Amino acid sequence: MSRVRTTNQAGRREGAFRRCRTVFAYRELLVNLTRTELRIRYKNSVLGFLWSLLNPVLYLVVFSLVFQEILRAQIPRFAIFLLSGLLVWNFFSASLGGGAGSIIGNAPIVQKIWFPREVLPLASVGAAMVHFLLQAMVLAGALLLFRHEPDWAALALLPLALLALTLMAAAAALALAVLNVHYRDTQHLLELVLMAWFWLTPIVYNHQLIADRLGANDWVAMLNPITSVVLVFQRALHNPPPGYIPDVSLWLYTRNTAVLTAAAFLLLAGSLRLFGRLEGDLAENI
Amino acid sequence: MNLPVGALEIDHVTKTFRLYEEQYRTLKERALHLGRIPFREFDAVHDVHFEVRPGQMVGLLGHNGSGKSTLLKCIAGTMQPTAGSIRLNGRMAALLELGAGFHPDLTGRENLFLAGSIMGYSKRDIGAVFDDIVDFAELEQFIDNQVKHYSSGMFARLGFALAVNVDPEILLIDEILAVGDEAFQQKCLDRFRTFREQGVTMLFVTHDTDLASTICDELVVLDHGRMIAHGDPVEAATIYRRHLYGEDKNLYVDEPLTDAEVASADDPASVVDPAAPVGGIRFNSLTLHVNGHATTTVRPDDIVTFHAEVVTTRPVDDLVVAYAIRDPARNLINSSNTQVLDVDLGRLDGSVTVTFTFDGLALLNGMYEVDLGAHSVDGTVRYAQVDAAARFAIVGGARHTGIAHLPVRGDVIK
Repeated sequence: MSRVRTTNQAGRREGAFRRCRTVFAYRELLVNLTRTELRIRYKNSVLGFLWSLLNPVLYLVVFSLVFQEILRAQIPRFAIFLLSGLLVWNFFSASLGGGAGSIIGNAPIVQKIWFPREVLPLASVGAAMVHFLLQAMVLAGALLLFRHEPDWAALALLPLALLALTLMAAAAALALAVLNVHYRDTQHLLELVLMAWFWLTPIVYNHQLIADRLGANDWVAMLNPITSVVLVFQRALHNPPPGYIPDVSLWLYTRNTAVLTAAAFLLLAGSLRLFGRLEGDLAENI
Repeated sequence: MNLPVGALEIDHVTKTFRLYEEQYRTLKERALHLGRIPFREFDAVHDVHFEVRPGQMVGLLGHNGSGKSTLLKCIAGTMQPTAGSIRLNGRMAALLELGAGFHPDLTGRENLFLAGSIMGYSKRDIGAVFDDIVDFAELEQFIDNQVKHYSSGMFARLGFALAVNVDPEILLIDEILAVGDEAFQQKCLDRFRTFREQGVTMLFVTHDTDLASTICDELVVLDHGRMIAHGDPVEAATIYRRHLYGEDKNLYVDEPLTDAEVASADDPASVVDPAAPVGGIRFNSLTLHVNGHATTTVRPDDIVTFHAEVVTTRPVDDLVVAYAIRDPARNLINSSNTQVLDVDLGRLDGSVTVTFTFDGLALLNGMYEVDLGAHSVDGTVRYAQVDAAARFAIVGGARHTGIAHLPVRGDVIK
């Protein structure tokens, strides 16, 4: 709730820290919007939340069929391998897709009521996070079903990887949401970019195939930040025998993830800044 | 600078829109027309400057496209002024559109919490007033239905009930009285009156000049984004009317009108009796007081005092002051004068305030106006007359029809 408030052009240059503080004051709205988004999606559907679980299960069946049975991919426990990466990807792409349309989709309230607009894309990230958790249950079920043991030491790295992923998703969702108001191409472009990005990320194939091709230049593949996160998830959950993902020490994974987290923080700060510059005219451009 | 709670400061606010001949929203179009997108600049609000003190009710009048809503959006924070700034202190509720923030697929209950949190209220805040809201909206039976099944009236009632029950310190209201039936509108007016007593600051956008000049403490009149009047409601409403009907297109004033101009209110034909060349007496003001406070909304059982300030520029010793209460159609409801009421004004020279006190105005809900007149004891000389010197609204009355509120009870004898 705002007590003293000044509205003028200077408001655009508010720092990232102050913006975060305002968003934090509206955290209850964030929770409510996330809940609404989830509730609306499955309202009036018989299966409701089961749809969130059905999506990865179906992916699992189709991709396993195609890659394991038809293309003969040589990855043991392909289902678990696939789900580990898909979990990460689904969270990221749902955040970006939902975030991009979040401000335009809520035009009526944006034009009528003041509240920190950052909350809208962040609620999309929140909804994606809930789906992530539901789908993680599918993965946990698959682990139990196949009696597959994860890499317990690497599991400890998952929270950090998830943090980095969330920060990146939030940064991207914020930027896309506000850009989409000014350039409606954003969401169409996003669909194409996400499609390409999916295949550039080692989700349905193993990273080692790429790393071998690139040889000494394999750092190029690591420029895709999602790859780092996917590798951590695959390492921890799929826990493959050597030769499928870079067979380096856990320490290197930790270092990569830490660097990624730091970069994600910077990205988020930049994104908040961009959001502040562009949000002033939202109500009239929407 | 410290701003008292409930204060609102509009500091030389300008809002410029760019009117593009074409809207280039896609990258291709922007690339093609890079840097040479034709547009005109247009000030929807131009250098508007006024303050609203805590507890004041200020009306914003203006024709369509005068910038009222843009200004209100800037105050609400959904738009940023291009120049100048707006400062306010206090919890603000903006009634820019009733039920903004409601989601059609959610139930009334869910929507109250959702819309509440959009307005910045916590679950606990809303929970504490939840029953009041539902009660006010008269939607007890339907609160767990999806709002898409609500009628537009129910929707609006819920929105209004939410906004007025969350204990705002500053309330922005945009022409919302146009919704709902008459009974609900009365309820809204009633609630505004309560807010007023509680010292809630209100800024109120309307087209309804009568209503605005009746219930507001001050009026701000906008025309093509510029402020053409600010101050006393009757004066400002006069300027607005004159302006609206095109009698004086170049009337940009910042100072209040002189008394003479006030007297020539609304209807130039009925101002001062042309057969009354006897000058030297005029009415300076007419205000209604309830419980010692000036007001323009009255309940039927309030003890109301009319204060009429008479100024004489030469000694007069045969003065009779009269009032007439009329409905908006100018039908006479009640009239009396100091002679009939056995008040001896004596010899007057200078300024004096004549009061008429009513032990209740047994009228039905609605708008009324009060005329003032001054004539000599023998009735041969008319000194001054002002039609509609004040307007007031009766609120909270019974739902009778007719013109009078008679104390009546229903009963059955068996």
